[in-house]
Amino acid sequence: MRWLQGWLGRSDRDLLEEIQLHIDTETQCNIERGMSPTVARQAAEKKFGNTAVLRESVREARPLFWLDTLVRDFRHALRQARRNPLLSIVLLVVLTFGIGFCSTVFTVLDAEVLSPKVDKSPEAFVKIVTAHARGGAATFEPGPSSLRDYLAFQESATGIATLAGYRRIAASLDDENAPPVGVLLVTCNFFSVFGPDVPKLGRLLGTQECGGSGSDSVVVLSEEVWNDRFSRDPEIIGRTIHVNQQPLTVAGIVPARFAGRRSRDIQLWVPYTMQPSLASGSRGDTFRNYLRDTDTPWLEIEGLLNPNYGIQELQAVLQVVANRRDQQASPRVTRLFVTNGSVFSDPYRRSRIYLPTVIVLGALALVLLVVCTNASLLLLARAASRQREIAIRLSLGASRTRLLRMLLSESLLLAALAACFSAWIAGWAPDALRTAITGEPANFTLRPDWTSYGFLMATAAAAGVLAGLSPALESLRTDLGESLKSSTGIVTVAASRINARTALVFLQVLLCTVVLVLVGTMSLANLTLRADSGFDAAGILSAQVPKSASSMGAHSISAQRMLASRLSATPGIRSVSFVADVVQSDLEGVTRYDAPSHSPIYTTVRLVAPGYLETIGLPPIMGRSFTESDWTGNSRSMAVASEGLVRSLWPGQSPVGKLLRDSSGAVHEIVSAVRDLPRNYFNGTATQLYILDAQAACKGEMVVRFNGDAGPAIATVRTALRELRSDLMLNPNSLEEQAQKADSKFRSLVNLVWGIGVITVLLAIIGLYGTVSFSMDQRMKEMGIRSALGASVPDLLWLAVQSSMRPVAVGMVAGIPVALGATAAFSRVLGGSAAGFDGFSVIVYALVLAFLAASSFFAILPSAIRGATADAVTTLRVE
Amino acid sequence: MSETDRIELLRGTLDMLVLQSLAFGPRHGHSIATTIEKTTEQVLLVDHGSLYPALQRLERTGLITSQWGTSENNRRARFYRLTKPGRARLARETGKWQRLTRAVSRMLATPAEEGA
Repeated sequence: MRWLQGWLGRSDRDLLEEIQLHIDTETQCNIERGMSPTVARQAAEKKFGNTAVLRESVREARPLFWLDTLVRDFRHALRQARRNPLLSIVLLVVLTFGIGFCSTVFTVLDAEVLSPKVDKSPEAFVKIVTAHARGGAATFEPGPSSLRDYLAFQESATGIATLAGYRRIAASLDDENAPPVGVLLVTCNFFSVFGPDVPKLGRLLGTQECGGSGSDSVVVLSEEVWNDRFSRDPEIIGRTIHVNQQPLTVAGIVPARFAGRRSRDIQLWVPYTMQPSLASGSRGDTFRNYLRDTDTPWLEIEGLLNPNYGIQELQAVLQVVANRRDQQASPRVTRLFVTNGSVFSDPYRRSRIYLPTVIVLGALALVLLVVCTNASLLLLARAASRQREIAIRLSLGASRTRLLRMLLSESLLLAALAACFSAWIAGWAPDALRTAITGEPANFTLRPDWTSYGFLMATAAAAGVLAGLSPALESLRTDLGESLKSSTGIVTVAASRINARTALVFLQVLLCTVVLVLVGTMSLANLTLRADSGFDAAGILSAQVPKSASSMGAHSISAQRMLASRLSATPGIRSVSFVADVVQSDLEGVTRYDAPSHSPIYTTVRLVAPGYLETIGLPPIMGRSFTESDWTGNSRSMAVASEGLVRSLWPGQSPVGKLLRDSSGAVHEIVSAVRDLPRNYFNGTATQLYILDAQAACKGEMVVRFNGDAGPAIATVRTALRELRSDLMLNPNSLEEQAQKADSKFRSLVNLVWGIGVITVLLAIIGLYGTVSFSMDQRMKEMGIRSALGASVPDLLWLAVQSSMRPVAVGMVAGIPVALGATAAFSRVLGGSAAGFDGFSVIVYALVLAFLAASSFFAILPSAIRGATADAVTTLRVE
Repeated sequence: MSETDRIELLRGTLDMLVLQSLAFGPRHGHSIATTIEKTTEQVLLVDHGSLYPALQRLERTGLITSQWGTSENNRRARFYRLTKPGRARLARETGKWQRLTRAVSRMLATPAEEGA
């Protein structure tokens, strides 16, 4: 107990007792020296000095003095907050909105980018990322691992980690004509890596089931498919279902939103040893048996580290295995990375998310800044009314740093309270937000982890300091004499004080302009969204060629060409072709070959296979279209330009036979011209260039033009695909339907942005009203004098309005360039580029400025009228 | 002795004086103050009030400890006692101080012409 007392410092009462004894003893000594009791006491007290100062200095020297001060400051802050409950509630709401919003978005960002998307022990989760350079190639292509690689990895990692392999395929479930479902072929330790610990029904896969010999004909279903396709049949366990016509016994059901759905459509989990049977269920001419071809890369590998082992150890062990395997599978060089499973830790995917991440964080900073500016404005108004109190404290000897701490503690207290509410919001809002944006709930836990809570705390601290600093500094810049002289407690406004408030109003309006322009631009894009795709989208199906097909040569030109010709021979199908986007962005700056110094024209570029333009319905206006013979290599690259591009490059001339150079320096010969397609929202220009590149197009997207209705056409294409290319796993969809899906996604994003915009403007108007109203209170005396000197009501009104509107106007003007930059950045994230995106629409800017000016005016007007019409005699008497 | 003849304490010497006054046994605050005054024949001006922060500081650094006891006039009083580290520190400080005063007095005793 004594050590604790020594550590905390002795209590004030103890000290007081000691002091009392000291003075009493000294008094006694003085009396013994012959003084009278009164004089003896006075002498003793004089000799001792100021006891209050002594006690204060002892208290300040205590080890936990800061805690004591903190408690005092917060008690003071609490009193202040209680004194003006309405203001405190408004501040709390404003701060909670800001902090809650930021931490919600950050939690989503964190879950999507910085963390692995798993439920079971995310901290021990690992992903094996491999990239191979084959046949002496210099470039490494990231891709899956072969079965032999996986088995070698798994064996060497025994004791360090459990590694599971899996592969997604699409397969029919019972009904051949129903849309296919996603099936995950998994190693039998899959569920020990991803969970769940307890199945919803039945059991999960056991190791014996990957032993082959027929025991592997089992399947685990998702709760979703059990719901939708089997109406929650309680007798489902043990029943036989058909996957790609193969009979499989249902072993168990995993609960809904299971993290082991590695992509959204996964509904079934089947032992990987079933791969040959599931593939041979259909008679594919390019059928492959991956269990026999053990060097074919097809498995993704993820796992769980055992306790006491780290990523580095696993990486070291696996690298040795990879090197050994390279020698066996020569010529092959493998680069192997063990990551924590997040996108950010994947060296091949990281670069793609940098810019979006930065933009999202930038937007968060913007929102937080708006909120803090607003809270600052409100606190500033109160700071003015407390100048007398501050002046008294200063004159009593309080140091300015001590007072600064006291004043800051008020906004920090509010921010801390807001952080508590925000933590509650961050518990449920991220899931709702993600669902609102993507249209479906996440299949992994979307709760804030320690990173998110750390971010929340940091945001709250920043908000507390940002919101409180300027009002606190303003309070301390008090003219002692002036403040104490004023009897009303409200001091005549000094010039510097107007500046702080003006600067905040300016900042607030500037931020508002930026947010509103973003809202406006997105809304405009929303209005004009896909109004006209420029071609008959209803008659076209499209299907993405899976990226994973690349490692198996399934999208080689010959294979795809054969598929196209066989498919188009099917009744009901008119033509089939392929198209791909340029890898980096859709936009490319092209110049005339004969005029390389001209500034480039930006245009949308598509890499196409022969037949593409006919398939989407763009016959050549002049020149020839690509022919069947163009499938195979050409000595010169050919391209088709749209009319608009032709007009800008070769005005008044025929483009046929002309040469142009793209931004990579490659030269293309124009063989014909086609109609322009209207620009879509963020991705593209109103002109297009179609470059013939069958090889690239075959890896992109298959497009099919059909006769009649979409439903039967999809069924026909599916059946044909199953017969022709079971390895390709294409999932054709109507182009129109895809466009609608994309549009609704974009619409929900627009709604979200609208929500933010409305709240921002509301905040700004509240802030502006509060500020102007308060500064008018302080200018009443001035108004009274002006009125007494003969100023008319309109004169005074004009004076009040124009002085308040000045920072608003400056803020709006300064906001324009910032808004231009922000929209450009935003459009880049959404896929287009500044050149193709209507980042600058005069209508949006005009509307935003008019709206802001009008709402500011109405926020100012009531106070201005009050100031201008006040009775001179009354105001002066009050002062 | 008149007030003007008294010397203000040099910075840092109060701790040393307090430790020395405790060298002969535990004392309470007032007794420490009077011991210093009596021993120095009232030459040193000790502000009684400044004694207590010094005592708390020394206690916190572990050079002294304290305990409640009964004073000579039967009142509850806090008695301070030197600890082992405190005794060691006192010895060290005393040695240092003696070297310092020797050096200073030797310097001051030197005739002025020699330095010129």
